[in-house]
Amino acid sequence: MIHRIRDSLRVLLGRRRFEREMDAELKSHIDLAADDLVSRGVPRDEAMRRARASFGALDGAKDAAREARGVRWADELAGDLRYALRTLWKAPGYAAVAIATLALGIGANTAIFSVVDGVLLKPLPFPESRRLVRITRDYPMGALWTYRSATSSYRGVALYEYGGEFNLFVQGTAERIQGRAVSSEFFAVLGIPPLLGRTFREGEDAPGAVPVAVISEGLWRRRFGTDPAILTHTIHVDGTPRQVVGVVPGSFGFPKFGTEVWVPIKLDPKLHGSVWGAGGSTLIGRLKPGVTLAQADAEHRALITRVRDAYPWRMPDSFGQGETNHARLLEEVVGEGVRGRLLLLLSSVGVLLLIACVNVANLNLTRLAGREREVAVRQALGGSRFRVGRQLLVEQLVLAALGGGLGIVLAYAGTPLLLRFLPPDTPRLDEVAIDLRVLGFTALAILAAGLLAALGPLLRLPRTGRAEVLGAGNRGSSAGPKRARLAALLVGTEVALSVVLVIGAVILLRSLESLLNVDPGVVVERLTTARVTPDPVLCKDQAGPCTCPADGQCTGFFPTLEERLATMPGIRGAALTTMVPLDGGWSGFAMDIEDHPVEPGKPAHILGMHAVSPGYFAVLGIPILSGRAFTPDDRGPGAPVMIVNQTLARRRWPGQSALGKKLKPVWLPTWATIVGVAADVHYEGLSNPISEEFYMPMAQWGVGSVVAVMKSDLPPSSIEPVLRKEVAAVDPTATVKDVRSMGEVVLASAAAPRTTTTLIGLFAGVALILGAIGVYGVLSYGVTQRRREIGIRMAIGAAPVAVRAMVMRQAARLLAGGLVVGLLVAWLGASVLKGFVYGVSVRDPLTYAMVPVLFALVGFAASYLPARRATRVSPTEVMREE
Amino acid sequence: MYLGLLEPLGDQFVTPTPTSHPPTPELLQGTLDMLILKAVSVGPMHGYGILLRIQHFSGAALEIQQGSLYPAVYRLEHQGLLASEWGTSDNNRKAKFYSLTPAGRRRFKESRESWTRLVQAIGSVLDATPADLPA
Repeated sequence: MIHRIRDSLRVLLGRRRFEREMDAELKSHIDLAADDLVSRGVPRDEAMRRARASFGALDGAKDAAREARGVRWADELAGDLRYALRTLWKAPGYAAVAIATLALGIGANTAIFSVVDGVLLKPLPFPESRRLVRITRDYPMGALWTYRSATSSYRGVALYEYGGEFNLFVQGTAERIQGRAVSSEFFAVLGIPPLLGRTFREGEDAPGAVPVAVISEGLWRRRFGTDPAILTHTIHVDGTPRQVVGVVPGSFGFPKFGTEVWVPIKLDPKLHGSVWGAGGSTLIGRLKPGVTLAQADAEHRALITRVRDAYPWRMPDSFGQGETNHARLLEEVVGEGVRGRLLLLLSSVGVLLLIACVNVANLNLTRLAGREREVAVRQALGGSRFRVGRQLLVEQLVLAALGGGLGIVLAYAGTPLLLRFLPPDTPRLDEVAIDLRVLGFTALAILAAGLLAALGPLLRLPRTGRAEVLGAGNRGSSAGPKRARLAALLVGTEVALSVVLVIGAVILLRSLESLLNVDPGVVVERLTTARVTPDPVLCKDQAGPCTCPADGQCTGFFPTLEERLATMPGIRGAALTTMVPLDGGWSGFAMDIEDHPVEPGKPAHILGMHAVSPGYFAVLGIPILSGRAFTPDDRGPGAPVMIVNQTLARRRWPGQSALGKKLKPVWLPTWATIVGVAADVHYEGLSNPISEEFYMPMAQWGVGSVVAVMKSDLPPSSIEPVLRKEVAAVDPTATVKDVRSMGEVVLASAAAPRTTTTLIGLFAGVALILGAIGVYGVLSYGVTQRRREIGIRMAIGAAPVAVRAMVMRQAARLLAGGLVVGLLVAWLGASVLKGFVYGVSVRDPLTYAMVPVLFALVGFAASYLPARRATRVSPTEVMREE
Repeated sequence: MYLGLLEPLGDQFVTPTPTSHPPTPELLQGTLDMLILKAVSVGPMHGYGILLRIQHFSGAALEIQQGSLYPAVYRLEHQGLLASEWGTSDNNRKAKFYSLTPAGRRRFKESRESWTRLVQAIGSVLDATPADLPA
């Protein structure tokens, strides 16, 4: 078989040579035969004549020989291709519409698929990535000790922290960059060799180890000009001088693209707070050969209780027992958060392609009417049904290929825009590319589109009669009504598909609207926010964390900052907080609540924690419902105070005042008194229910990083330079990041639904236009077909209004069927939208009422031109055509 | 029994020529391939020579239609059973010479064996007498 394909290819590629050789061979054959005759005494001329005659038809032999070499099909295909291109060339309007339609459909599919492929389907860029397991993402760092010593499923386990930003201070410039604290096995488990130097060694995460760092190729380029002596450098990461021991390739960006520095975690058993106090570390492992995921998971489930018992304090019995806490392939976990949305996008864009194909199929059908005679002539001349059908198919495939080619160009141009448009926290966006995998998908899409588009004419083809068509003259043929039915069916399908897409888009739009209409609980206007982070070691020699709550002696970074911000020109108020609403962060503390004791072995109360400066409630416009806001006097360890949100107050002390009640973190001895109740604020996303939150004065609780909130009429862009100067004046190593308006923060919190809705809305809009084109096409065709009838009707006195009404009625019939089916399909499939909508039902009645009206309007618009054309049919002209 | 030789092989056929006496036996479809392989197996030869060889070996009983030779030869080459090379004929004409490839040699052996079996089987049917009927 391989030999045959190779041989055919050789012949095809060296086609001229093949023909030349065949000619030469046959000539030599005849010469040899003549030679024989000459040797028997026949004169040369006569011998040649007889040799030729006895050979028979030369051309027939050549054809048979070509076929024998497996190239005849290629000849015919080439003929079909030429014919197809010629036909398309002669119908530029049709070709342009069809190619543009398919280009849109295929281009959009290519672009979306490239994202789906990069984010969800491609193997992770690590060797043997399917052996990598994410054991859990909810462990304390200390769990690593248990797994290091007890696992038999993994060749290695590694741990990385949830958080991912550091201050980098290089050559006098401070910068907040993405970084990770990881265990020493991190790079080895992933299988990433360094570009330069080495990665971490065993023990570099143990107490007393020399501080080291691995940096990315990008950082090496950006800040060190690819200095080959980088390994002799010491960089300041969060104020700690660290020796750079290695550079990893730019293609590596785990756990998050754009991570530029990795440092070892500090696995010091004495640091109870950091080793056990915070969860949220991710544990990964590389399976040993032969170990299955199920075995590894069983081991994980067994080790959970050992980790629980390794805690220095008693953990709830239910620790880690959640049904979702399973070891899973890293590959499957990475894109998990976006899978649903991406698949929704991919299916919408798939429906769009389907609509485009049906549109083209319909266009073809209309066009076939004009080509009926050509096809009939070809059949009459002996073109077999198969050949004629193949010709039509080739034509559609050529069309699809041209459309697809243009689509690929569109996708190349559009994908970078798409990537910028997608939420920036989408994983693996760096791996999205229009590569061979994606082009393979596109090729399939092109093939499917070509076949689908050819389906219409092919279905009708066998019934295209011969003599009747040839003899039918201008009157059209008996195939007309049948084809009209098929065309109506196609348009109905198109309308139905468009209805489904439009319904989905409108529901998503209404959902987005109600999401953005949620009152976040703060006054969004005229607020500028910025994350400000000093090096954590800044005040260490003076008094613990930077706010210096202990003795009030030091001039801590944050109080100074707050003072300076408030006096900046154009600033009408400034406050500091650990996080502003909706910026994606939330920090929960295990708390003791007065009147709500927790039995030993039961989970603690987890409450949202905010450390804020006194001006916080006023600047953000959060009403204090009872009691008071914080004052500058709420400082020092003496009498800690707190403010709780309304939800907490109502839930814990219903019917009584929360003022005077007490709270405390479980690990501290001193109770804090509640001095105020603040109105509820959406911290965790507009669509999430409000959780129980409490506030404490920043001056009584050390924090490492704050968001500065400034009230001002100035835009963030004019505040930023002044802010940077002020921060640098307090401390040149402190960093400023994410200077943006509160409005941007709110919008960014809805980035995922916004992009999904916008894209699906775009697809639905295109679908609507294509649907309109489909209806328009069928109606125009109908008017052309019925010219005689219309002419006669008008000749015997039908009013133009009646003629117009006739066309409109046809439009209404076309739409109604598709509309009913579309609404039904949308209704039945509505559950795919579950999880994507907020504040409206997935079967939102208003949408189901609105969309038919929209389609009626579109149908009316699409039928306007054909209807007008119908009334312009001149009876005399139609009669004369006979 | 394997009847590979009876597989349809396109429109190549061998017909009796009106001049030959007694009439040329009609060839089963596919046998031409086997005859060509045989003709080439005794030494590389050009197309015209292959025709002459078959005619000669058959004692002039078989005459192959010239037009049907090349499709068959090309198909055999396409299947990798024949190899071709330009050379010079005895009387100094340039001609394309065909030779057997190892695969061609194997195919010829197989064809020959199954042909022999077929002939024997048909022969024993034709030679049967009432005595051969099952009891």
